[in-house]
Amino acid sequence: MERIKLAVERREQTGKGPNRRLRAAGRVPAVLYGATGQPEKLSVDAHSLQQILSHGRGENALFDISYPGDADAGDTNVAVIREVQRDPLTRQLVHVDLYRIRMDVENDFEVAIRAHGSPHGVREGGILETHLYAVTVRCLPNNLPAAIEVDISGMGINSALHVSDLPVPPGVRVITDPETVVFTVLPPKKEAAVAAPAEGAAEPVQPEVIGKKKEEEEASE
Amino acid sequence: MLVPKRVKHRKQQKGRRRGVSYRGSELNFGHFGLQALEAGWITSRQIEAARVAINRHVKRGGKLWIKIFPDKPITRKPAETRMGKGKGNPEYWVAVVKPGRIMFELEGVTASIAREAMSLAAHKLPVKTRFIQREEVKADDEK
Repeated sequence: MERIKLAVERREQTGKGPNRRLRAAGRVPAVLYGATGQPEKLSVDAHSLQQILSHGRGENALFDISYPGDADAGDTNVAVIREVQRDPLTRQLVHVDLYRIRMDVENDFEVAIRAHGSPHGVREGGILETHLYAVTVRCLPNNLPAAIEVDISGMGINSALHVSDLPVPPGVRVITDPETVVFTVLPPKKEAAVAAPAEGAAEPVQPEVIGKKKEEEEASE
Repeated sequence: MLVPKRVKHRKQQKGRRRGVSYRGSELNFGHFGLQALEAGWITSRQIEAARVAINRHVKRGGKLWIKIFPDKPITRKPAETRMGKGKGNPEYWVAVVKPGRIMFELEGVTASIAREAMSLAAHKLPVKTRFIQREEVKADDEK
């Protein structure tokens, strides 16, 4: 598993104002917590973190947390990203949760599912639907796969691929329910379903008002 | 057209549309989406027009999710009526949309078809929009 060095700085101040100033200065507020040690308030360089996240790495990479001036902490400060908060409009990073893990203890991780190939059901006119984009796995951090790669070229129309069908590397256990559907190939839509309703269709009926009926019935009695 | 089946009250107050949409601002179902960049009221007719535009463009392929629902009744007084005498009659239904809201999601088509379909749908809507896609789909396209 790839280990990425992440330079962090400790931050003392909390709250809306100081964190806004931090973001304006090109840094992202973060928190480090987990199995060992006390929770710590940190800040990370926004640009470098964005670079790591935008290239598909980082989602479940292991980060070596390094503080300025500190010697290499080895395996004592290894973390994974637990949550990334983004602005809904600008997509800029707002806050990051880093989860400190122990390298000798199994942990739960979210691993992305990557499909390869084009299902032959799609070539016959079917529609590939993705139900699940990631699964939860339990493994030692060193065994953590970057993604679970699955070949879907054999899927026909009306077939489904379940979590139990995913090829999982040795040393990794899937925690997600094995019956959960990951991909399905839907049959092609019928023409009638696509056809638009006639222009100027009848006005929608007024919805029933909850409680109104009851009152009317009581009044009539 | 989309209309609620049952409501608690026939009429609602106008309300304000301040802030951004934190909920419903992520892609949950499909690979592609149409995100609102402005606040507005989307009527059930506009939602239907956008749905038809998308479905016509993607033809038989693709699966569409509509992530907004017009649950707000808008009233109007009859023409040439003097003011007063109470609030008007419910006329149509709108969905309240704030910036960031993903209104439609699409899957099962190529990025170029999805972009064109969303563009056609955007022309039916009264708010500025943006086409968005999942990071992994974007990465595959770049390859």
